[in-house]
Amino acid sequence: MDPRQIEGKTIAHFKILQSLASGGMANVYKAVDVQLDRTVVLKILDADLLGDDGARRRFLREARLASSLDHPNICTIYEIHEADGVYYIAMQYVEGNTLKRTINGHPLATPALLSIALQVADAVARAHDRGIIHRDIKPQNIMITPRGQAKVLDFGLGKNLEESTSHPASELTVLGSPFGTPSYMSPEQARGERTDRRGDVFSFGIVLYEMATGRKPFNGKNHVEIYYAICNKFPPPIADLNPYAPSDLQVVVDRAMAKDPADRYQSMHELLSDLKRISANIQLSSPVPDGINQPYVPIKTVRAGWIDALLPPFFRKRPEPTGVLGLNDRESDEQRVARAITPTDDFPIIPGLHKALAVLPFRSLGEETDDNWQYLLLEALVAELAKFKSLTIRPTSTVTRYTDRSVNPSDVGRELGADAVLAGSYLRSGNKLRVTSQLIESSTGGVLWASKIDLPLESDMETLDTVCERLIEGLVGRQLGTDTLDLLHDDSEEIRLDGIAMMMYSHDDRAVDALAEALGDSSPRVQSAAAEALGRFGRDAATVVTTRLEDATEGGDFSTARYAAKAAGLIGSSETLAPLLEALSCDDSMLASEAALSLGRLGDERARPDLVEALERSDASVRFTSAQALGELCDPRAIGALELRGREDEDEGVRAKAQWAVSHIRRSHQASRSKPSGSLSPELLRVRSEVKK
Amino acid sequence: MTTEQLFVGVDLGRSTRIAVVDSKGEILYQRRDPSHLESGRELIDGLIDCVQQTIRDSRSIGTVAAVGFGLPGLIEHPTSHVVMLPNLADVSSIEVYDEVSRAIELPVAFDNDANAAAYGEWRSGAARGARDFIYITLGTGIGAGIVEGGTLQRGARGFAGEFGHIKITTDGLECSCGSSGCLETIASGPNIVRRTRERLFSDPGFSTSPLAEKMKGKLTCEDVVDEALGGDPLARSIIAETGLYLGMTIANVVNLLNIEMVILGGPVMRRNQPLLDAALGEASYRAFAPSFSMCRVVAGELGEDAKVIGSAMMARDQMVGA
Repeated sequence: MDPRQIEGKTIAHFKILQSLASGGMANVYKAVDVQLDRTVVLKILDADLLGDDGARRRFLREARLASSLDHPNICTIYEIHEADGVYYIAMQYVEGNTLKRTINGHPLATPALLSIALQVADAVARAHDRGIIHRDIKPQNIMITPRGQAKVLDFGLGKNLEESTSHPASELTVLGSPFGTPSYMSPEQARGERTDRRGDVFSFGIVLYEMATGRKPFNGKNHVEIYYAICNKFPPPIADLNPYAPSDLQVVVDRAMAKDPADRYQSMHELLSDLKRISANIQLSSPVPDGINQPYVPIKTVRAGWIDALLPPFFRKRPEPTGVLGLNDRESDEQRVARAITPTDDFPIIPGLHKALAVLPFRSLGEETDDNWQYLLLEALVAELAKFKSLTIRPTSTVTRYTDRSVNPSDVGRELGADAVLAGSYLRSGNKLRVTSQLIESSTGGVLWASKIDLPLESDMETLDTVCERLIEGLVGRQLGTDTLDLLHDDSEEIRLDGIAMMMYSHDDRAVDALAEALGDSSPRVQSAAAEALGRFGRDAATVVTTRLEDATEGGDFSTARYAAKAAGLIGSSETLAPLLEALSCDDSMLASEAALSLGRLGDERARPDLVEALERSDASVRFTSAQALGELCDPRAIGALELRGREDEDEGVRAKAQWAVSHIRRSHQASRSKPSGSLSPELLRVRSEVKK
Repeated sequence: MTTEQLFVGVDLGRSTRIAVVDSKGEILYQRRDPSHLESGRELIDGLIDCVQQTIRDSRSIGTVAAVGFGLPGLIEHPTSHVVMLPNLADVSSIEVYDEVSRAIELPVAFDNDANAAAYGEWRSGAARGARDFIYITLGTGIGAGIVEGGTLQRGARGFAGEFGHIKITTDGLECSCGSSGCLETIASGPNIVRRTRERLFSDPGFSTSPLAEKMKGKLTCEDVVDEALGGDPLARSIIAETGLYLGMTIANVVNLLNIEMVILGGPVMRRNQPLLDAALGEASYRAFAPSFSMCRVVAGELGEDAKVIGSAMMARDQMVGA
């Protein structure tokens, strides 16, 4: 069956969104777990292709074991089940590119190479500790998120499948098996012998080589030639292909790729130690000490773009590609090598705007034992902070081990490669809560910022939200040494969105003007976010937004005016009524529509006559939004005009909206006339309102 | 001179479709006229005119023996009193059945249009030979015809089958039926377009959708389906969400009635494989497995013709006392 045919269908509690890959044995889809509302990767395998019952049981056992792996650099397997001879494996969906695409035929810059290598090695070592061998380590199985985190995919799934089938390699190729590429096999695997963890060490050596040189070490025109190369040949030295690679790396790669398993690293931990030494030698901006789960990912200024930052300098700042395929940069190899060996101060080590932050579990100062609060607060805070894309937040799994220990936050910060650490405590007394916290700079141990929050203890969730919001207000922005105004002018849309989010929290005096400026951004997402941010400032932003709306409308800059109109509606000040009415009468479709929506939000009944008039405009979008606005105004005098639209409008969407508005106005007026409702007891009304919440 | 017995089927909506059908359910001739929505009076007078004209026009091919009407509203059974036609006009002061049967001077059958369409699919479409099924029509509104034990189920007063007014949430939108949270506020054609328009405003990420270009003018449910088939993420998500609620409601009905078949028809289902797939997936996930395992969910075979054929077949069977 064409794998695209099941797009849109729901299997168990997974709704299939799109096909990601397909092969003879497995089809892979992006899907949504509708129960948990999270995006997953769903792998669907035909159990028959796994072989006999024993092989299936082995596969299931190993996959279930792998699903117990909890490591920030391993893509989590959420669940596995079997139905009607088909296996469904739901895995974490990871945004980003495969390492294969990140390498894209070019060597990676050393810091990025080491960062990725350390993360992957740590993940594989941890899996080996649990007795799980990957057997299919290759760049295609390693995802790199936009923030530089590596995630190893398919633990417990990879080669087991291939091995447990009886298909010879040639037939697998015919079937188009996704596991067909032999370039990353160890010699013992290529010979068809059983492999152990040292097979993973070999494959990882190949990945290291490819990251360092941009090329695979063993090549051939067909599988037989590749198998021969793996068993008998030695690749060219790394330095021949990338003069910037640390010389020690060659030693590590040679030992990992030793033909005889007995000559290799006997464990991934040994290899990891050597990598850490190399990384310490070249003095990354943040140290990478023992025992970390997630090494610091050095990222050059976000302005340069992440992939660019990964490349050694001689591959960056290339002339614009020319030629039909965009591949020929018209530079001779000699020129390129000459440039490559010229030292440059543009080496990507020190992150510019990027900051790494670790949040420690909050300590309870009270007598409560078995208290989940510290974790609740930690998780909630990390989840909120993770929205800021120019901050790297250390995952909670790396910090929970510091619970109940008197640790020195700056030590922890250095251990985790974080620029700063947030540490705090709380005390619950009666119905009051006090949360104290400090932001500590890892390098100096100095206190960058401190806060004390006193709150009445309401429901856990509401109190948590309030604490989070207050902490982030204090934390984000200048406290972390980043000027948010710079973010708003960044080339990257994501960073500009971050800047806007920070502005909302920062209480920066310049925020309102800067956000009003951002209403004219080139990206609708940024414009819309700026409007929403301005809405949070309420009346403080009314005058600035009014002026922006008037100027942009008058100047014919309708895109800016549209989002200024949106901001005006969210602000909800009557000051904006006149310019919004002016904008409603404007010919520009989106501006007039947005103005109508905002007039509805504003709830000022003086807008009714203009909105009723706008119901007759030739532009369906304006009629639609005017009907919405009149519904929100809830003025029964609009019912006649709305009923007419609901019956006669040529656009069915407008009809539906107008009919809703009529029903909404009628019901609201019925409800206000007869409260509490005659048919529902006060008790039932209370339950209903709680359910709705 | 030919004496073939003919039946007329009428599908009254925002336009009026009238077909002349032979006794086997084949359409021989049909016409479509705009309905007069200005008032109830004009609507009914216009309807009578069109039917009379059709009967006269068909004399060359046979003799009309009976006329069936599928009407979008509440039709009381067995009195055939038209209680309301909510999406068309106010007919509360008109005795529609009496006036129409007096004017036409032939046996007349009145039923809800969803029942008529179900009857059509039953007699000559996807449900031929079935004894327990539900036919769901998705258009301006959402209705259903239910057949259980080989009998069309109309309920105590004839108002059974209001599938579109099954509640799917506690805090949904107000519906024109006076309640809120009805399936119809999500999955009817107009509401699919309404949701699309709302998303185009609320999510600037969709400003590049082909649907955004059509916002100023007339946007139809068909446009949304077309773009979903073309892979537009906005259209696909709207259809997928529609399927989620539709499938959930289907699961409820399957659990309640243990039917052997669910047939989806009406204008919204036209070429709408994505919606059928999404609804099927959700229903299979939600429904009680032993019930669902023997239940097929399919698209109707007669498409737009289901209502006129069904009305005509109802008139035929009522005349012969079937």
